[in-house]
Amino acid sequence: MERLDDPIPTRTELGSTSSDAALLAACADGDRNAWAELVHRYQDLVYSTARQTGLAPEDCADVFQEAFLELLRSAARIRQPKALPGWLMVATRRIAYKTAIQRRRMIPELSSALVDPESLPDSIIEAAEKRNRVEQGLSQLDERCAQLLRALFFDLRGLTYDEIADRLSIPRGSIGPNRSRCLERLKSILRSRP
Amino acid sequence: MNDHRPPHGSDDPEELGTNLGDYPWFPTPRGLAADVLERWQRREILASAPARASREHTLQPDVRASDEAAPALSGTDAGPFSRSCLFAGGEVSVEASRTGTNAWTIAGTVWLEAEDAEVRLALIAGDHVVAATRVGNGEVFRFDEFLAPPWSIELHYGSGEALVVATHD
Repeated sequence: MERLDDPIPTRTELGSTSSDAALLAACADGDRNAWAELVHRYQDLVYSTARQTGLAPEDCADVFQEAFLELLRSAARIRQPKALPGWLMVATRRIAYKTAIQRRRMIPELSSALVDPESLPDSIIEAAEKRNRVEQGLSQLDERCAQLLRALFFDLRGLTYDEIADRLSIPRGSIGPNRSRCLERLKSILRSRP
Repeated sequence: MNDHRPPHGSDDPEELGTNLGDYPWFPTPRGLAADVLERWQRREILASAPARASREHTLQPDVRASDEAAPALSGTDAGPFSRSCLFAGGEVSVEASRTGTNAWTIAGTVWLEAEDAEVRLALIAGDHVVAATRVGNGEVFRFDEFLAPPWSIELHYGSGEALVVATHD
């Protein structure tokens, strides 16, 4: 029997291979671990969505909390669990707008369109969902593999092999073989995810 | 063609790497997720979560009074509108007013036959429970929210019953 004062579950104790639909159903039935897994799974997506509205990090922390509370309140109602990333983005944008207005934050690019779900293009939702899946996969790699793949594929500066070798303190000649090995691991992780 | 590229399409990190501008990524600060999870421990969120209610159990209210001649519950204009209706065990009144573009103040009062009873009111937009609160006999509630229509106010009472008190299309 789960007790309210039980320790917060860690990622390894959670059903990280469960589908969003299964987690939402369990969450609606009061399963704390299911909710914790959803928080772990989508935390960066929610935080990134909040930051993109132009809010400061301290405001985004509050938006983050409110967005996941809305998820908990709504778990039994979500009609399309496969569209959960978009659902979270809609909630986060609306809450971010409310936070900005109520706290009188001066954000030039802030638009009331943030509260309208129709203003969020499918292409943006798809890009965010893909990024979230890969980030989730990277988080399950060992640190060196994750660092290498981030440097190779996710650094906007477009680092050269020499720069990556220097930054990660590894021989330049090891980048190619490790790149292949780490990509294979990432591929395996992504394939195993729901 | 790069031999090291993983052959599984949409999850290809190289493909994503070429589209980073589409969705800038900000890792969650350490401790933020733990703060959310701790709120469950402290029962805060359990107290605010509305009962699980399905659309199948959503009832139409018995409209007792309205400031408009038509008994319809929907509001579509920009002006304030109010509704009052009976349900098994009490009565609820709601007034909604637009305070700006997609900005709403929705407030009301609940009267219950049982002094120690409680009902929950929820502001719904699509499949989002935007806000929810519990109120007892004679207590007032108020939601100040920013959202695009359609939205509705639901009252949850008894053992899982719910009714739509007001809607805005």
